[in-house]
Amino acid sequence: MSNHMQRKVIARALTAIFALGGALSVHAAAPVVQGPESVQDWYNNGQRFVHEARRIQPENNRAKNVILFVGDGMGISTLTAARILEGQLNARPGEENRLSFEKFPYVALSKTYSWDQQTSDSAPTMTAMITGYKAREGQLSVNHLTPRGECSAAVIAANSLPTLLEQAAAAGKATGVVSTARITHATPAATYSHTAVRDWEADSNIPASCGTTGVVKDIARQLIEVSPVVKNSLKVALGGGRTYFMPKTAFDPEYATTKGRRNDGRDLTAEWVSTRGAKAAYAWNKAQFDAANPATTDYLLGLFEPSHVQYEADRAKDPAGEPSLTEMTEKSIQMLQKSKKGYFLHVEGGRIDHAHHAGNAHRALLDTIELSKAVKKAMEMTDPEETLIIVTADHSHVFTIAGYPHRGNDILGLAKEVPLVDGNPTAPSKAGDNMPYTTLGYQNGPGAVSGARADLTSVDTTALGYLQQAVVPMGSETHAGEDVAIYATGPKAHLVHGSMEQNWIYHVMKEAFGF
Amino acid sequence: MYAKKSPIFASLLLAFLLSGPAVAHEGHHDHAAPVAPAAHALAPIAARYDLKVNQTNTDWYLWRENDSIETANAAVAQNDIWHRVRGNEYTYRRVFHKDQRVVDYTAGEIKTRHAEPDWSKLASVISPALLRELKKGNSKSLFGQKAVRYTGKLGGQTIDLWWLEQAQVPASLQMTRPGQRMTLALRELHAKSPAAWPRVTEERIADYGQIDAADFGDMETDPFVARVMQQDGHNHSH
Repeated sequence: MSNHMQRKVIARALTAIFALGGALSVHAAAPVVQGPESVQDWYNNGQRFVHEARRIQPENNRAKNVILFVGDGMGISTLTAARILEGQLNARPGEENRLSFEKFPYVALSKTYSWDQQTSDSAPTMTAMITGYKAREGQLSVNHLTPRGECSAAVIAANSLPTLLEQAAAAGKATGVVSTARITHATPAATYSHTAVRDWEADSNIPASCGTTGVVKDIARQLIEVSPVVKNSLKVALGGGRTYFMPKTAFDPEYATTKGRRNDGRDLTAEWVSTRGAKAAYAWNKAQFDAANPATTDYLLGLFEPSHVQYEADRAKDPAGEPSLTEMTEKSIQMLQKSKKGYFLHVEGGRIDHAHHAGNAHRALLDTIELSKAVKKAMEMTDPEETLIIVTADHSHVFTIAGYPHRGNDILGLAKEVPLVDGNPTAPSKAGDNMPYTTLGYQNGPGAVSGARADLTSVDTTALGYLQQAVVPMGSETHAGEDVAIYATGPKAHLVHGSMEQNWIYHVMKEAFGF
Repeated sequence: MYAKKSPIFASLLLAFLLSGPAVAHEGHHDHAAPVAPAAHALAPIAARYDLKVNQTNTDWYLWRENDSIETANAAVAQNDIWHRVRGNEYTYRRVFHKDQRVVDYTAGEIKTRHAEPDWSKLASVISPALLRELKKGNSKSLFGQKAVRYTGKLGGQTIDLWWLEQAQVPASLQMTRPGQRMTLALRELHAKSPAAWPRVTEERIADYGQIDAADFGDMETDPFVARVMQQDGHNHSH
């Protein structure tokens, strides 16, 4: 009999015993687990929701600006757990909390399969969102006819799909890209580059078998050598990955033994500055980032780590200092707002995905909360009548919220049920092996065990370094194929509705811009 | 109490040393209580061992410096390099010569995978704390210094160790359990590495492909990454 069934049987027995007591007065103790709500609160909150929903009016005007936030790997279970964690960090039970974008008026589900993948990687998913076409595994902003591993620049050009960033640039709008991953990583790269292989981030990543002539440019080079119209438009690019822009002969400014990755000897960070006029700047640390005045800086490239930037949990300890995703978002909007024709901005919370791959839920959730803060900052800085904000994910992860934990139970802790008898203390629920388990877990990944499961009774599962238990042993936890959420507010946000193909997100943004 | 650790530092030797449950516990830095001088006080050394695992024989190298530990396993043509940065953070580089690939684990990635090493173990091949659980025996002079014998049984493994007290490394180590035998025998010990030893240099790996371990999850289709991930996934000890 399952634990849950046992509870039900015991509860029925207790009910029967109390019933047999007849007129005996039973003074049950107060429940140990209690939400903060009164009985009336539930009804009143529902009425308030309906009242506010009645007042929602579609914004049918065109969007001057569009901001696309993507939480990499931010599936719905991640959102739920992050929302609870954020609430608990603010000394509340947590379940009633809402991440900033969960207050948006329009929500839909996004089907994330790609042309050739049931469960996708970040390349075709961002290609879908930014070009309007589903594509092949590992390919960026090229159509699905593009051969795998295609080296030819001509073939890539023939199969390239225009991105919303490029179209915004062509319309005279300012553009920007922000990520906590490398700025050449799949999600941000899909906005400005076209390639058959997402891993070709520096020229040293392109295999020698591609030859030396007519070869597609690496992604870092594509960022610097974008078309003249995009070059004029792309005002800000902030993230990680500076070694992909540095020659192999150069040492990293922050880590003394780390070198650049470029074989061609080019310093693309210097080229960003030299090819974009007197008001262009490059920053690789927090002080330089802070010193970049949006009013007087027209083009800002910020690359704050040799590879991905720090997880939000570790950022404060970074040797040279790094801006947060919120700070990067804020500065980007400040720069882009100078454009009278409006702007397109893409912001990625890129490290949610990496922490999940490592099987580390705590770090994934803290990065999700940081993305929520960045969205909140964007909402504060923009006019909802002229700026469409969309928040979504590219794909999910095999991350679950399990058991029957009680209200307010530490989301990172052991699952503890509501006690069978009011007044009794809570205690960890036991699995079939008679050992406790955590609320959060993974279907696969580094947290898997061979043989007997570890007894977690005395383990601090809330520690930042704790890896949740998993079932299938894998060196890296995997993506998941279920739908992800899309949240939208602003002009044309009402077009986000129901069950959507992921590539339809592009079409909503395009419609909002009126292209 | 400790939390689950990721298995990324499972070289052939260390995998063997960590494989028994009792020894695996000893591998957690938050359990380690070295009886010998702290690892940071250890003198730099370069050591060459004969490593024999069952019927496989190979050279195994250890280079120990204040804040870096490098090992090389000739049989699998792999170097592992740990750096200690800012006192209590670590970076890790795995160099796969046959594949001409380098995998880098940043300090953040090490923490995220909860893979912080027991530095004293890295620096001494086995943790000096392990000695407390073994029976101390006679001593003799080896490599110009005092060597003490330790024997015992831990985690189902029979251990026979000659421990160099000054260098804080084994002069010889034999670990056996049913169906498995590993012997490690020191052949050369230097204060400075001989130039011919297979240490990683920038020149040697200049053309190797570099991978940030954080990207493993996005590179399952790369045969090399798939192989390393499979190896990692199967090397779980607890």
